[in-house]
Amino acid sequence: MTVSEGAANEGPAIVGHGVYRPPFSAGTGRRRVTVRNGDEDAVTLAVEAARDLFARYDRLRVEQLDGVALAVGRPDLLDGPQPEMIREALGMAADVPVTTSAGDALAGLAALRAATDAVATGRSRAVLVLAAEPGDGARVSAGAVALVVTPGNGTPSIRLLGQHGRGDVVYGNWADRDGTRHLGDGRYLELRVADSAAHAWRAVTGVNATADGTTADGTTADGTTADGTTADGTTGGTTDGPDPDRGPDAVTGVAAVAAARACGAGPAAVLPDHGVAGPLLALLRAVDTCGGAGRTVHMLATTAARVVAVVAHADAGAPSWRPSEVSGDDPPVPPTEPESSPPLSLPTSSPFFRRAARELLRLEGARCTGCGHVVFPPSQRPVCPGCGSFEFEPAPLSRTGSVYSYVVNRFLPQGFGDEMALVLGEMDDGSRYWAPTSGMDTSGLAIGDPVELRLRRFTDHGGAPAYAMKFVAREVSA
Amino acid sequence: MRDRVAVVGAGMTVFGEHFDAGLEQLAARAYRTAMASVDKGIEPGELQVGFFANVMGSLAGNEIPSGATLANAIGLPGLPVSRVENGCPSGSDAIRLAAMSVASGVYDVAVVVGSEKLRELPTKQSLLESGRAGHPILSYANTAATIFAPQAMRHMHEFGTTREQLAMVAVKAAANAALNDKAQRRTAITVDDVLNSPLVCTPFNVLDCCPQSDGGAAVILCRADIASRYTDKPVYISGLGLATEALYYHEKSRMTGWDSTVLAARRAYEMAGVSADDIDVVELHDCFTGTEIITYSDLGLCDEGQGGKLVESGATALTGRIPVNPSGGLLAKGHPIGATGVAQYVELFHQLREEAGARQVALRTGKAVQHNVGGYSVGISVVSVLSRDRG
Repeated sequence: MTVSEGAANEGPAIVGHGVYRPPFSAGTGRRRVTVRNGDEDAVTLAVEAARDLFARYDRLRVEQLDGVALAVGRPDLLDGPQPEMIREALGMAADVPVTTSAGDALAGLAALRAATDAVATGRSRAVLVLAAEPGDGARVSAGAVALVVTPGNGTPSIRLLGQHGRGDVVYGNWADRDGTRHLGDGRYLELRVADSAAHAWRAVTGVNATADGTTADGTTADGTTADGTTADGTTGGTTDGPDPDRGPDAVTGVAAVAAARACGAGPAAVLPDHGVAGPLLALLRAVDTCGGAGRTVHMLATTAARVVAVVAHADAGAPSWRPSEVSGDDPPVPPTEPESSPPLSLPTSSPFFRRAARELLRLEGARCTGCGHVVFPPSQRPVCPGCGSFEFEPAPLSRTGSVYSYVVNRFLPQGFGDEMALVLGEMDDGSRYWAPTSGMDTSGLAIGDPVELRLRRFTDHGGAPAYAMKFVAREVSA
Repeated sequence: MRDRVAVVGAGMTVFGEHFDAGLEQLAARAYRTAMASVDKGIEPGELQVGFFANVMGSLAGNEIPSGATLANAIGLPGLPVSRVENGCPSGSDAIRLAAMSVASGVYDVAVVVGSEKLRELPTKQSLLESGRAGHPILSYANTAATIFAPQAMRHMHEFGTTREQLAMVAVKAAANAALNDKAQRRTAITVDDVLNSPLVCTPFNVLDCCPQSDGGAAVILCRADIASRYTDKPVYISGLGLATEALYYHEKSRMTGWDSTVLAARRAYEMAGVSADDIDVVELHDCFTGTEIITYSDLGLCDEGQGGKLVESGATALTGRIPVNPSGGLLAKGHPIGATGVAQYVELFHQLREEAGARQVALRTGKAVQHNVGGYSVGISVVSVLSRDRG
């Protein structure tokens, strides 16, 4: 039942957030979804969201983090090295605990709960929560969200006050391991979801969603009212009380429309389905509806078989997010990179990729302790060409710069696609780096263009995927 | 070791698509031609050591190539033979090692054979597969073109080298190759032909790129003081320089030239006691048009950045001030990797003996330069100075 987790000003707090949604899309109108590029996946999306988080908050530094709670939807990441690749790419030590939640769109909430539990019990001081959704190109949008949970330190934050989930054995609207979605009888599903939503909503708010006729067609007259009108003392620990007229501030997931309707929320509260990233995005969106003021917010996350209602307190200026206004009438922006997975000179199962993991995933060179010369990649440059020293210390390399030279290659070995632009970047720290581009308009590429390096998948041929840096266009503020 | 080693015989196969001949047959044909070119004759038993330049191996690489491949191909099992695989300059380095083995006094007579079978497989599975070689990530999707194209792009950006100037290199190469019955591309082309050919990798179109070639080339070297046993017109190896350089692009000091070529040229010129102004003719590594333009200044034929203007001026044409690649070069004669450097020696052997026929250049000093470059990201370069006269 509902967990009442205490007052709004103590306990684990979400003190920072980052969001990444690829700039590509498919479908039109109400079927418009965000899609990832061909060289993006849950790992790169998660790293992008974390990168956005650190860019937003100067006060949050990766060195402060002592835990990662990762949420992914697809089981192809399970037992693989991908969570450790994310940790390594973010520059976190090997003994930082990394946990993975997976299986359905509620995994993001499970990861958040794992983080708040770790902080509440004192096991961790600062946990990075990552939820990454590759999307399916048709119904579920790609995107990722990053949150940092700490004991709170006076900075504007979000604190979870309560959560109530209501499940039901409902078959329908589920995806099998191949990603094929199995729909069901829409009318039947809507009735079952409305029932679960009404229960969950009532449990966290004390408001009987069905009593004021907000559910469609009185569809909850199936016994729900009889056993549910009493809120059984499980209202969340809200300080200003729910607003029955408002309903949930944000609703997400595969059954979001039905759940929103059952709880009196308008269509504006329904977010695009971002899969496993959806619930955490919905929480941030709920805070956004406060308009910067502090108050209690409510969110519903759904699968076809379960509805979870969350109540939280947001301080003024707490982390928040609003989906960008993209008209479904605009033409879709197709991904630029093919879903290629070429064999490389070594299979990704080779020990080479472990030896090179740190330098490739972090873009980390080595600085000679004798003369200061920086070498890259350190695994292939054990002796300093400047002074002959064998002693080095880690040297992170700059990720922003401009095009020093480039080529557009139209004649590639088999498996690499039909065209690839490769850029030699002159980076801000004076180093240079040679890498393929991702998502760039190759026809307009020119020397001097601002670029930056981002983690992308190079292949998943012959083992787990291999990731390294690619150049993307860098936005330059005027 | 200036002028202590002489070239007394040189020969090569036609470069091109030899679907009828394997690696061993190409090696043997080149060997036979070189042996037959020795004016006063030579017997196989007089050869004391062999060097075999080859990068891709035989049987499409399904073997462990060694010197034994050459020894058996030329019917001399038992001969001490080393296989040299050292990037695109493998042929030049094989000659360099052979010359040093003779100059050291260990051997009197050496044979060097370079032989390559690139057309054993379709293009996309042959040389292009080198794009899958090297560092799995830092060399990702790289090809022969991406090893040379970023320099050409930067050269155009920094020095205003034009697309048309690049094309002029290919036009010149084809014109020279039309006079060479060993060349792969003997059809004359125009600048428009080059500009209208399909894009391979910016800024290079198909006709800016050397073809994929099968072929073999061979030279016979001996101690200079016994050269008269074999010919009255030996060609002397006056200078040899090999240099490596920073490998990855991000490690290189510049993207408008190759430090290894500058260094190798300095070493070769110093050994020979010459400067770039003393040179009558050059065979240089024009795997792509941009490579030739950039290499002009690395070899000292013009000031840095002036390569485009040099070719446009006609100075490097057959009748120009400093003819470059009278053979047609890699662009038109062909580029069977291990054979390439050896074939450059074959051309200069004929030029310095004034037996190059319709493409004979005018000799002033009787000195020639040979240049061969390669390796991943261009990491190695070989430069030789050859002389008609013993200094």
